Amino acid sequence: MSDFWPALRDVIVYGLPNTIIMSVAAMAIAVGGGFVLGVLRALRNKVLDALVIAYVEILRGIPVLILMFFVFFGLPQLGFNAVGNLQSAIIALGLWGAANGAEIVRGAIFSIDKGQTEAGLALGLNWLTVMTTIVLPQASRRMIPPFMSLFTAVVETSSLAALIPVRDVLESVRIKTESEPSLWMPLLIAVLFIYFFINYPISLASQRLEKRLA
Amino acid sequence: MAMVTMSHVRKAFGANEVLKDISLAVDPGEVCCIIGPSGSGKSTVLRCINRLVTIDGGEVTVDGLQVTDPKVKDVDLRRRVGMVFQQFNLFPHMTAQQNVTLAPRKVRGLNQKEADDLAMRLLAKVGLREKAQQYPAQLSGGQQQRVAIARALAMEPKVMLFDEATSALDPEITGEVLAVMRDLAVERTTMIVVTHEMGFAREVGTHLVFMDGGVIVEEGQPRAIFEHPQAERTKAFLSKVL
Amino acid sequence: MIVIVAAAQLDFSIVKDSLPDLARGAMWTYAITAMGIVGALFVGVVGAAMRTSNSRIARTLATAFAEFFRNTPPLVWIFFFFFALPNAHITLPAVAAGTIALAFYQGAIAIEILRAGIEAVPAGQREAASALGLSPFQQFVYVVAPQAFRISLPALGNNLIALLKNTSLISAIGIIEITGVANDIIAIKLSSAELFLTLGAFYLISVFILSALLRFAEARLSRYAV
Repeated sequence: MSDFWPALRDVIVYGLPNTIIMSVAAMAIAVGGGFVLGVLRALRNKVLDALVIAYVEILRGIPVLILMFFVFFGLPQLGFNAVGNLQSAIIALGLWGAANGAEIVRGAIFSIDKGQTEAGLALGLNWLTVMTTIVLPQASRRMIPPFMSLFTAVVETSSLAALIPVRDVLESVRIKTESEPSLWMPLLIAVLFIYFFINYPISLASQRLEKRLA
Repeated sequence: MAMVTMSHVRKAFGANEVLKDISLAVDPGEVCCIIGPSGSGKSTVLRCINRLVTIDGGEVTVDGLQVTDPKVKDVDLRRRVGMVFQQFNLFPHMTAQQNVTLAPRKVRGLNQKEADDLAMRLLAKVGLREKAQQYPAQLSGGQQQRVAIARALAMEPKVMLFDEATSALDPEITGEVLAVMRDLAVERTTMIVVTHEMGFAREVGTHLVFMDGGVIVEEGQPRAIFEHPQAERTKAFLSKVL
Repeated sequence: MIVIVAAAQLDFSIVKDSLPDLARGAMWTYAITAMGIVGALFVGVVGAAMRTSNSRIARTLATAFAEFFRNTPPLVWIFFFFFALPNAHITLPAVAAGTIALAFYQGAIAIEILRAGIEAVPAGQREAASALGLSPFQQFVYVVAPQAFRISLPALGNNLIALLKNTSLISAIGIIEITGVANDIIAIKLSSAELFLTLGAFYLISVFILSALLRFAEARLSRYAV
């Protein structure tokens, strides 16, 4: 057990940064991409709608792991240049996150009473102005709790990158236990708590926010 | 011996003293109608009788059982007291017949056949035999309430409590429910009825209680109180509703 | 254009040759999903009952369990049941470890969903059941739970679909379900895009079927919705 603390230190020092980098970068893609896709659906253009729906359904219908493997292993075979492990993970996570983000944005926009849009248009404002000055500001407040939940999901899902491999906390544990299998139990428990201490506060804050917004 | 007695009952919800000092006796076969403005504590009085609400002070007895006695089990109490709610509260995932047979099977221990026979008899009694296999969503408000009455009667209670049974119904439909209640009264069922239907209270009631602000202001024969109210508050209330 | 060029480089004969193995993997995927669903629902119902009970201890235990499992990655739990338990002299085969891990993880999520469903059942229902003399247990089983279940069905359905997709994580501890089988083939044959596309199609179709089943269940249960 004297190996535990040094091992844990390595796990945190070498693994945690990647976990955080992946989560934050993927979340940025998720929010940005989600906004674009969600607003696209608000245009109510049948073709665009179909395209966005197809994207969302496919990306949410397959396991993220498959997506990660496809980005990392499969794309080079199709003629795309090989992308690094970490980048593959971030791209895959981001694409998946954007699909979920699209649903969150769409849901929030559509939850704004139609009367708001009608009033804006009746005043002579064009659609884009109505969207940016009336609908999106109101919708954005409603998006915050679900996006917080999405972030905790991204953090959890980033652990899949360990299978590519990306040296996140989980992969760091695997490396440490290769020479010392008895470390599995303590290190995994420590990792569980690391994830818990990241996600639980966000989850609580999100629930509290949701109650205040209701 | 009175079927239901309440003496000096007190109940507060937090800082709100809903029942201040209630004493009441209801004899077997009586139709006791409780009237009064909203918030006067009428519904709470009913709920103290079958222990849906526990009182803070005083005593309540039902058919000789002390409601405040912890040795008296909930189930013994509720087999003697049937309740019909303003919102009907029928179980939406069960047919009318299943609504009626649930408690007899699970609480009284009847087998399926006995429970079904009982249910069909009671549904016929409230005029809904053909609706036995329908779900509450397929029934009108008045029909749902009549099923609710059959459901309460299936426990063969000694007392029936009605908590504003017709208040959630459209005016044209209240008649069918009041008719069922009238039949029960004719059969000498002991009933305690919280209601806004003054016509019912006057024609069918045998004992009228006017409550306001958590106390009983006036009680007696319905006809007497309606025609010659004694207290000022009674006069004020009746002039508004009649 | 890129898609056409890309498609031209694909050779699906690899998939054709591996069909028996992939089919076996698919069966395992469905089997693990089915067992996982049963386990998750059991955990969810028991946990939700504890979460809404009158006992402070039961409530705290269930909440702690649910919150801890919900906020931690399922992959770590799969690793835990497979790699860490042997440290405590409990060795589980990969299928068992994976299924149990997923049952607990999705079950923890189900606890929250069912709790919300239980709380959404109108209070009048419990009052009426109580007034009829039903014990708290009888009230829960015959009146509250059926309605809570119907209310929870959409969110529960999503949870179960997530379980189906998460079976792919078991590929990390063994070659059993379809993703594991596919990875094994890729390791040998070194060609992967075709297999991943096939995998993707498999999951999309499976999710579609499961969604359809759930929608059917929802429609049947809602025919008497008030």
